[in-house]
Order: sequence, then C-alpha cells, then structure tokens
Amino acid sequence: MTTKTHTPAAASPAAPARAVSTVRPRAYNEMGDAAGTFAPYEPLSEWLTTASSDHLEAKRRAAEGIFKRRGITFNVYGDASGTERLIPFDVMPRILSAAEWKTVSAGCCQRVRALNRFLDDIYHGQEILKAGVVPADEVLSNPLYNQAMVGVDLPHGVHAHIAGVDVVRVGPEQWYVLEDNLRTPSGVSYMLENRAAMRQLFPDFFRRQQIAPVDHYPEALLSNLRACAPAGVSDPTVVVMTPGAANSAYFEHAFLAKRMGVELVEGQDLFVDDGYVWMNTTAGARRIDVIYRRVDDDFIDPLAFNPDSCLGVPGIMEVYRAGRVNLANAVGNGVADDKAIYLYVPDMIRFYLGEEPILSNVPTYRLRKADDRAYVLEHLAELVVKEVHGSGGYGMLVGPASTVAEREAYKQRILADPEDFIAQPTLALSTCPTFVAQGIAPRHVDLRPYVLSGGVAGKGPCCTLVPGALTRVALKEGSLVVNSSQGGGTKDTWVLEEAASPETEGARAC
Amino acid sequence: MLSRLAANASWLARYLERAENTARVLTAAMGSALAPEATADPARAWRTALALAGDPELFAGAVAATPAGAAERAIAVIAHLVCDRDNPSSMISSLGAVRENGRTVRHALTAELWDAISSTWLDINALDADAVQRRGVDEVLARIRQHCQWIRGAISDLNRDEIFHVLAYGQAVERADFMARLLAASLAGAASLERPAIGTARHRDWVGMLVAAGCLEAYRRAYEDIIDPRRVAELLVRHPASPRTLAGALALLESALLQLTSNRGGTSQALAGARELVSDVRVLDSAALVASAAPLLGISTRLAAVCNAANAELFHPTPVQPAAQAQKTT
Repeated sequence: MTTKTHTPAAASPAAPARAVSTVRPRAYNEMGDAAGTFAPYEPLSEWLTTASSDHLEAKRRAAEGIFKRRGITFNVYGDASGTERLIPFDVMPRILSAAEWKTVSAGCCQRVRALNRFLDDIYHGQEILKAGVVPADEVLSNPLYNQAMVGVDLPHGVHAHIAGVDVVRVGPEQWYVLEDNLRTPSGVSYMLENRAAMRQLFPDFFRRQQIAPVDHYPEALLSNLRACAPAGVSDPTVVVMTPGAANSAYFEHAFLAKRMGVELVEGQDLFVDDGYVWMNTTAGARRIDVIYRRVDDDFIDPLAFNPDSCLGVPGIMEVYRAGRVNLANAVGNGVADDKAIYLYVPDMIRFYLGEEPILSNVPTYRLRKADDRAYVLEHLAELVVKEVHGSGGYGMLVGPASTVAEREAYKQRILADPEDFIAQPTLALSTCPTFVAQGIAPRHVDLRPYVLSGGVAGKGPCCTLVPGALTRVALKEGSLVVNSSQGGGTKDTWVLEEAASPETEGARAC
Repeated sequence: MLSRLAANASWLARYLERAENTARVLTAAMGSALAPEATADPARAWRTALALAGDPELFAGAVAATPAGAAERAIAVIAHLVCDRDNPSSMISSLGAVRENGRTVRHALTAELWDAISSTWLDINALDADAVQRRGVDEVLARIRQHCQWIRGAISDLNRDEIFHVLAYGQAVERADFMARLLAASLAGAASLERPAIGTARHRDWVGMLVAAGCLEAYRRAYEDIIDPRRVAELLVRHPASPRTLAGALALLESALLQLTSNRGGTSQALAGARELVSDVRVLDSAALVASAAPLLGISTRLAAVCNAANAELFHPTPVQPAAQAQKTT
C-alpha cells in the first residue's frame, strides 16, 4: 500500500526531498532575496529604479516592431485565426553568472555525451542492456526503438548532433533536467533573434557587463555538421531540410539555412540515385552529404516508414544506412528522449562516463507501476502528469492549476492507458523579473541550452555549447507552463563572462 | 552629355555609395563595441569606424573633450558619422550632396529617380543626434539603407545611355576605393591568417570585416563553410559571384569607362589604367596582402590616377583655346 511518504522508485539519489515535497513552495527568485540583489542583476536593478513603466512599455513596443519587421513568427496548430503569430517576448533579460553557466553547460554536455553513447550502444552491442542498467524491454519494446538503425555506424558515433536540454532551477544551486530533446529541438533562432533585439534595445548593458556573445551558433552548427559528413568527403555539401513553409518552425529552418549559407530543401527537391542523395538544381543534380533535417523520422522515407508521407525522400534510408549521407539528428533518437528512458539517464552517465551526474533528474512516477499509480491518483492535485511519448506541453495536467473536473477527466485517461503516463512533483520553478501589465513581477522560467555534438577526425566526438540558451517564461501569474504553444513567452539569456580571455571564450570543446 | 553635368552625376553616385558604405561600417562597429572584449578597449571599434568612414582628426577637433564614457563615445561617433553637417562625409552630408548634384542633372533623370533622391533627403534632413538616439541607431541605419537601395533601384531602370554609365562609374570608383581601404586597414591589423576558433574575439573581427564590406551573407553562400581568413581576403578581393568585391568594383569601373570612352578610338588613359588594375587585382596574392599593406595602398594610388585621367578626358576637359576659336571665326 502507498502512504503519504511514498517516493518514486527512480528518484535520483542526488535529489533533495525538501525541494520536491511541498505543493506550492516559494519559488527561488533569481534576481535576489531579502538580503539584496544578486550581483549579475545589479545593473538591471539599478536601471529599473529609474525606468518608468511608460519607458518599459516603449521598449516592449520597439521589440515587437523589431520582431514583426524581421518576420519572426511561429504557427500554432489548431489555431484557425491565422497561421503566423509573434511569440511573446519579454524585454527583461535573464542573467546567469559565469559560475552558474559552468554548472549548467557542463551538466548538459555530460548528459548529451552519455545519451549519444547510449544511442550508439542500443543500436549496436547493447552493453547497457546486458549489464542490466536499463531494462532491455524498456528499450527494445519501445515503439520509438527503430529497427532500421540496428548496426548502422554513424560518423563519430554521434546520434544527437543538436540536443535541446530543458533545465529548471529550484534553488541557488539546484538544477533539474526536465527532458532531453534529441529529435528536432527548435527555438534556437529565438535565442539568436532575442539577443539581436536586446542589443538594439539596451546597448548600455552590453557595455557595462561582459555578456558572452551567442551569434556564432549557426557557424558552430555548420562546423559540426561538416565534421559529421560521411568518411572521405573533404568538402561536404550540407543542407537544411524543412517540411515546408506551413510548418510551425519554418521561420527557424529558413533562418538557420540563411545564417549557414546552405540550401533550404524540401523532400520534393531531393532524390536517390546511384546510391547517393541528390538535389535538383538549375545547374543539374548536386550530391548532398549532410542533411540537417527538421522532418520527423516517420516522414523521412515513404519506402521505409510512413508510406503516405510526401515530405520525405523515397530510398533515403538505404543511402543513410550505407553511410553515404548523414542525417542530423539521426533516425531512431526518440527512444532516448522518451520520458520512460529519461529515468535512466543518471545511470547512463555513470555507466558510460564513469562520472556522477552534474544535473539531477526530477523524481518521476511511472503510472504503469501499481504503487506509483495509486499514489499519483490520490495526489493528482499536487503533481504534474505527462504523456510518456508526448512533447511540447501538449496533453499534460498541472495538478495545482487544474479544476476538479479536469482532474477527473485526466484520471479516466490514466486508467485507460496507465503505461502512457508519468507524473512528477510540481517543481517550484525559479522566477525572473518580467515585464507584465502590472509592471515588473516575478514569473516562472525554464532554460533550454542547445548542445552541439560533432567530432574531430582522430580525436573522436566532441561537444560544444554557445554560452546562452532560450529562456521560456510563463507570462501568466503563478503559471508553470512555459511552452510557447501554451501561452509562454521568451527572454534573452545573458551569460556573464568572468574575465576577458578572448581566445578561450565562445564555443568550448569538451 | 555636358562635361559639367557628367561630373555632377558621377559625384551623385559616389556620395550615394559612400552613405551606404558608412552605414555598413557603423553597423559593424556597433557590433564590435558591444562584444565582451570591448570592455578592455572600448574605443577600438570606433577608431576603426572613423578611420574607414570619416576623418579621425576632424572628429577629434569637433568634439571639444574626448567623451569620458563608452556610451558617450559611441553616441558622439554615431552622431559624427550619421548627422553631423560639419562632417563632409557624414551620411547627412553625403545624401545632401546626392540631392545637390541630382538637382543639376534633374532634367536628365526619370521622375521616379528624382522622387527617390528628393524624398530621401527630406527624410534624412530631419535627423539630428537626439532623433538618431530616440529612433534607435539600428532603425535609422536600416532606413538610410532602404533609401539608398530605393535610389539604386530607380537608377537601374534608367536607359543605358551616358548618364547611366557615368553613375556606374561614380559608384565603381567609390566602391573600389572603399574596398581597398577596408582591406588595407583590416588585413594590416590581422595577426595571422590562421582559422580563428569559432566565437572568439579574433573570429568576431573577421565577421565584422565582412559586415563592414556588406559581404557576410555572400561569404556564407559562396563557401557554405566556417570563417577562414584566407577566404575572407579572397572573397573581398575578387570573388567572381560578389559585386561588392574589389575586383567586382574595378570590373564595373572598366565597363563604365569602356562605354564612356567609346568614341576615343581606344586612346583613353583612364580606360587603360582601369584595365591594368583589373588584371593586377586578378593575381593579387592574399598572403602578400597580409604581409604588407603596400599592394592595396598602391591600388588606391593608381585608382586616384584613373580618376584624374577620367576627369581630364570626360568631366573637366581642358578648354579649347579661345585663340584657336578666334582664328576659326575670322
């Protein structure tokens, strides 16, 4: 039987119980506490004492003008009113000290290194399954485990070239990873455009504080993609592949293609011939070596997967499996960023890297386990329940913000398919000062750094992070849901540099 | 076409090109000035901008005291280059010169071109230092570039007759001169041609150079690769696909002069000089450019000689001797 003190079986031992036990604990304010403003926020705090709300409103409007003119939009599925919307942008920056960033970036890098090892392993020797560290059935019976990838050797063994690791903070030094996005993580264009807008709006802050630049992200990405070209290709042709202009992240696909100077292709532009992938150009067929594809696995090849897909390229999987084109990210990554496998990431880190995890997992209940299920159903009002294979904030229940009717409806869904759900304690996500209708007020935030994995010939895989991230903010008071599809906004994220060391800053290789 | 008016039309095009180049130099400088390494030497980005697009001595003289703070210095340099009427190469002076020169040839311009020139001036003439800061420097620069591109669009629709070729000549001279100076200044300051690590200060320097040249996107598309200083130099000197390179500008100069001197039976010194420059730039070695600024300074000097020859042949021809004329009539 379960009791009030039931704890999830897979809770990370590093997770302090105190941080997750209360329903609505006081959130950690990143700007400061009763004793005063924290150092990174001092210039901002000082400026805020002199800035009127009219002035802030003018800045907000100016930001909106910048985004409108640049056409920085996203599409919300199921919204009939219009296909393009501006993502709400908060003009207040989120500021991280060099030390804070060091923890987060090292932790994310560590996770992604382990996850890449895991993916390569489960599609090859399956050492981790043999060792019993991850139950074999969790992987092999997982619908996202892709048989087509078994035995496929990828350059440098890299499967997740671009990973978006969602991190939340609950205390000064307490960071949790909410999820690892290893399929087609989006949002990096907002990180870059937010920075461009902030430099225009607040140049003085950039003179007073040494804010680490992020603008080289597309070049770091291109460098990694080129490094992951099939063996023997010295000057690879890289392209970005988009499902098309109707996709919610189309702006980002075009943005990255432009900033890397590479072609933006759709499935209809590509074909397979003579064992290679080609694109149709006015100068004839041009061979492609690396595809940064923003098309889901299921749609990439109608011959191998969804036969109805018009977005993909017939026969591309065969070329890919033969190592004559590389895809970023790799096919079959979903099995590793699944919420069921998430539970085992700390163990993966120990298993593959022999290191202790720098960032903790959120303790997680599996509803397929009777004990966990009974506890969760009793405490729905306190917990966050998510679909195991879901993403993007769709289909989740945030207990403390839910009504009795919503909880009852959700309960029925859980009972119908318990194995499809997990539950986590409602974390008191940290807050940052945010400009809202009432003025400057704390709002909950998360953090998504983008981890790039590539490799150097002869040296093996390496992992880089630009010093910055996308901060998503729940604009509604008290809300903990930061997804843009659910009414969240974004902020620019400033990572302060310790001291000028021009040759070591920027992209760091692990 | 009257020589006097041809001279004015060539200056119209030169000043138009200059305003656009200055806008790009400023955009690059603003980026550099806000990078973390700028805290060590906040004036560096602005010194570069002044050397390329202005007159450092004039600036020093115009500003009574060297501005104390980094923000004040930024505002002062921006004002000097954007809207200082006492600075003959500020954007406001340049666009004023576009209009004044345009007025003298207005009868030969299309109504659309004159509208573009005149509207630009009305819009820009309203600017002062406060307005630039209030509207936002980026917005103002974007607006000025839009105006310049509007004028250039109207020029591209002109008949391919003499005035068109004169405008092309003016644009080519200004662009070639700017590119030669930009290359000389940037390459001379470069410590090495080794690939900088992505995201470092040295990497940002090369990106900034491409921004100032208006060639960053051209670089990305041309090479589909990361920044390599050798390729940056290569692209800015002579990449065949970019019209903004030194070689591209010189080729434009040659073709404009070919048209303008077609009735001279191949005896034009200006054309001969331009042709020599085109073929010399084709074989310029980028490693040599880094080792010494001399080859690029040599190009600037020879470019000036081509301009002098063009002046003598086309724009300010030696007046026919009145004595000779008198003889004729008697």
